[in-house]
Amino acid sequence: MNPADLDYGPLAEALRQGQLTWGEVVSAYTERIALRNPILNAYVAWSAKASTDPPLPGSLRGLAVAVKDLIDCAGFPTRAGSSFFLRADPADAFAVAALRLEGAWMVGKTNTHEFAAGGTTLNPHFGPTLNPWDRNRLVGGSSGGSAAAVAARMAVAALGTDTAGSVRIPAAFTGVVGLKPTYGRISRRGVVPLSWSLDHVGPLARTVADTARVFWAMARPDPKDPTTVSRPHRPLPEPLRVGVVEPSPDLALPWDPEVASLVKTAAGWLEAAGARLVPTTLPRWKSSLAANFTIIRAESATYHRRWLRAHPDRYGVDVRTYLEAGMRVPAVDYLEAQRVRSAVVADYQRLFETVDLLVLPTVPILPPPVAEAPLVGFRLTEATAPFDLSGLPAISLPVLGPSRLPVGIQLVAPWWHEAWLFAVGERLEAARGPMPPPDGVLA
Amino acid sequence: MAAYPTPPPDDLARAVEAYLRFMAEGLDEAALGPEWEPFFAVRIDAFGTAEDGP
Repeated sequence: MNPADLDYGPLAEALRQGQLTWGEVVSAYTERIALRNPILNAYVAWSAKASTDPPLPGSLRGLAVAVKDLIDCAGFPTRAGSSFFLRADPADAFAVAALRLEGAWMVGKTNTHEFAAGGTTLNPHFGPTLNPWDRNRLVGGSSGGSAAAVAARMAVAALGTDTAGSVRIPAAFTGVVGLKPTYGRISRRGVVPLSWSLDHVGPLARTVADTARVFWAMARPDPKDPTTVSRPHRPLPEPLRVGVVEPSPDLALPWDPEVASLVKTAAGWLEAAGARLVPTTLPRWKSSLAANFTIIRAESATYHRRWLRAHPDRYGVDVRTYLEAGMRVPAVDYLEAQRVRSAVVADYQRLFETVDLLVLPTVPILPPPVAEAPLVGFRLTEATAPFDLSGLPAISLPVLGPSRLPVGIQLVAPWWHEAWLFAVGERLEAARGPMPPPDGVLA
Repeated sequence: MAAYPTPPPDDLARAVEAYLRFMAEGLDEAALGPEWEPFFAVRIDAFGTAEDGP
């Protein structure tokens, strides 16, 4: 088997046993990236040379990681998907340094929606990233390059950022696992901000186990990011009470029937494993979306205001629109959005007294055709943004439906209980069976 | 708020208006009850300060 096709457990074992050399691993990845990246445009920069040869010993020794080009990574410039932003020679972000300390190999930087301000990764400056399952459909975003790199076996894992769904949406559209941790779990130091009170760093990988490995290596307080803390978690309750989220009557558009059916199937797998299913819906769903959008737009416009005034033409049209809207958010709406946020947090505290986990689609529609990108913007974040607003940890797990397109099943846990997402996620993986590689990149 | 805005990509002013309308209407519909008065109930530093969740 090509070493680049291996998940981390078998790869680490083969390296330990001497069945593979480090040089063979590096060669496999460089050949793979040279072949597939010109088609998919997942990486915007990569290097055939690992920073340490052989890799440092550690829990992630030799694990190939792709880093979203919003996150500083020594050896590569940070450009944030922008025509003008440049940190030419950055030090590692806290999250990257944590992985490197455990022996991980930073392969390169991945394409992003410009400044992470959108969900399509149709980047006007670096080109679009294509979906490995079907190149005519959206890859999702904003961490689209990271998701495509993992799905197309150009990395074992990747780092992304998630402010309204930017890790989970592309994970769902490319058939990989994506985690948005609890707000405050992973430092954002060395990450270009989109919206500082909503930004999260999160890992993507092809399995729950690899996602968990990368997550635990980064999940530690950073004295220079005062939002980070460490909190214990309780043991997973048995029997598990799973809230099966139903579409909101307030939100005008229905879920795609194939997506809705796959969520029911996944809930059935949990029930077969002993869980008790409880129908539920998300509290103040519409308002939590509006609050999320208001806060993101106001905070991102604050970060960009000088550049936006000085050279608005250097932004892509959609991101310029996004930021111009932010410039016009009244202060009273921003404050009201933060007040709504407090109410939504209290709503979820009450909800998690009656259930232990939530299950719902990551995105309520199948990966749409690229031509429909201008029409689907808000639908992409409909089921993800409420958990950025509330800070709850959420994971997207891939399944494959009759249309042969990947769909994300989203699990949500109480604050600081990522371990529950990993435990239940592995149960879902076992019930699903192996996820095949994407068709599009092999065609 | 009947539906999501689908901002016309070629008309910046209308697109911005669509976003602003969507956000303002959604905030109004939160219908915060009296338990959310007075305004000092807002805790934008809520995350990470409690023992088990915000």
